[in-house]
Amino acid sequence: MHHAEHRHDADARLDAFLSLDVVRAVEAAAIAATR
Amino acid sequence: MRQALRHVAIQGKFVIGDGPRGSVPVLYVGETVGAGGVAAEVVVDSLDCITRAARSDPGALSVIAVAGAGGFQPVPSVYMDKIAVGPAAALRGRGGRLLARLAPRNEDERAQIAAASIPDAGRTFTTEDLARGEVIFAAAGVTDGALVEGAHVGTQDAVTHAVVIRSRTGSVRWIKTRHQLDEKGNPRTGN
Repeated sequence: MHHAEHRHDADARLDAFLSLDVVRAVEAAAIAATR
Repeated sequence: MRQALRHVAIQGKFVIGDGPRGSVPVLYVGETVGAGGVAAEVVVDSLDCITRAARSDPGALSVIAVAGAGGFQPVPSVYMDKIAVGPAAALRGRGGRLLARLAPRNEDERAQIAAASIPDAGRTFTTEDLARGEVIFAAAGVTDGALVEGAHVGTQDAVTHAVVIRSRTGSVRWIKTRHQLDEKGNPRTGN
């Protein structure tokens, strides 16, 4: 794979992981807020 | 929320949190967060519309937004006049616009603005002023609302409804999740 494509792919994966992590954070906060 | 953010691959800092340092035990402005990695700024409101949540009225949310270093304009927790309603990071992600102006309601709020040393604090802030660059925004419902349904929490499991918006792609994802809860009632993380 071309270096730039590889970099783009890695960025996209990191971005996706961050998206999921921030969702997990607000989900946990929403559950805690119901108490 | 603090626990869930501990393992995120960022070197993050809260620029807007649940309160100033010393006023809240966690999620305070200036607190660092994450496992290390990309420098990031984090904005949280772990319970937006707290009065609505207390009354079980609709529209209470937990909100977070993540941007690169320098991505957010730090503003104190004072009242703002707005001509578009909604979190600025979410509007950026969806191509929306917001105009906002700090509108202190009392001496305490005026003092907070003065302490924040914001250049030209009386000006009108645009969406770009408040959230620059790439932004990831997520919100989960506490009570049912127009944006997302609320959290339904049982003794052993819970169902949440969240939306995540990314400015880079303009994508808007709606995520319904069933969580297994641990003995403390928190979602099991697997960590």
